[in-house]
Amino acid sequence: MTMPTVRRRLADFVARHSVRVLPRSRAAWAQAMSEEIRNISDDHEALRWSLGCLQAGYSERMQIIRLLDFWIVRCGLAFWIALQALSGIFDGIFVLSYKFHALGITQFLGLRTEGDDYRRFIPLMNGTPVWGSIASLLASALYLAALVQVLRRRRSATGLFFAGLVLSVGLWVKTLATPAVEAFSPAHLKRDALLYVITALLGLLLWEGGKAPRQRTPQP
Amino acid sequence: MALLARPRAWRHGYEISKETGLKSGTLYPLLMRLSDQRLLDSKWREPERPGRPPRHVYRLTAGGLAAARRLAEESAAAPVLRKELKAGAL
Repeated sequence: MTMPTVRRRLADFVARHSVRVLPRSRAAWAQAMSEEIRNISDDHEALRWSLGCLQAGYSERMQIIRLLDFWIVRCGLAFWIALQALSGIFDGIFVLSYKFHALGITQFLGLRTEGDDYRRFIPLMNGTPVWGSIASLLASALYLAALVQVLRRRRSATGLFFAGLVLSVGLWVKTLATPAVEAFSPAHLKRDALLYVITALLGLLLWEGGKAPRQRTPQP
Repeated sequence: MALLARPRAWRHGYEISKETGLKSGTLYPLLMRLSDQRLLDSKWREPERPGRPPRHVYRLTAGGLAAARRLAEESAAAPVLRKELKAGAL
């Protein structure tokens, strides 16, 4: 029995690596590529073939890489969703506490607003119906549910996220249509709009990450 | 087109690569896509010589054959169309 040449050993090594690089859904193809090398008698050709397989492996791997596969991206997205949820909870409780005369809470929350005083929001709070605040809390609940599903890597996160987003944007647009919107500075409104745009863009990332894989498992 | 030449024959990757001049890094992703779209059939064939591993072989499905023929007709018609366009016939 003759010893395999360096080229042959290198070809085998690269082929084994290509098999590992290919996504699991392509396992049969990985096996097909690696077995093909064993049928190529010329060592130089086998090495060239295995390098091609490596290229194919990485190109297939790149196709299925999704940003949401990285925990840091998922955590970043979850953090952003948490901020949106907190913002909705803040708005809802702020208005409801005023409407139900829990002014201690209103005052406390007012200290955390621009201008440190809740009183300039009184026209806005008077113009906001109770159901509007409940809807704001509901949007937050949807965001929180989306957050949990993002961390659990469930596809249902997308639907929950967009439901929360649509509801909160709807409430914001409704607020813009009331004269009480003067309580907010133009800069504040622009910032809100920008935040919604960023949230929608992150929603697209979530939607893209939640798509079903394009590949099907071949059964050769 | 290479698979269209002998549509009923099963051929392995290395053979297709030799015929088309495509390297394995280009060929296999193409074969995978064709298979995903159900245009390509594949199976394992027992080795011709003992001691060799089985080989994965391929041929076009009926759908793949129809698509390849359509492509072949289109690419054959393209130069004629280009000539006619240049001559102002169309």
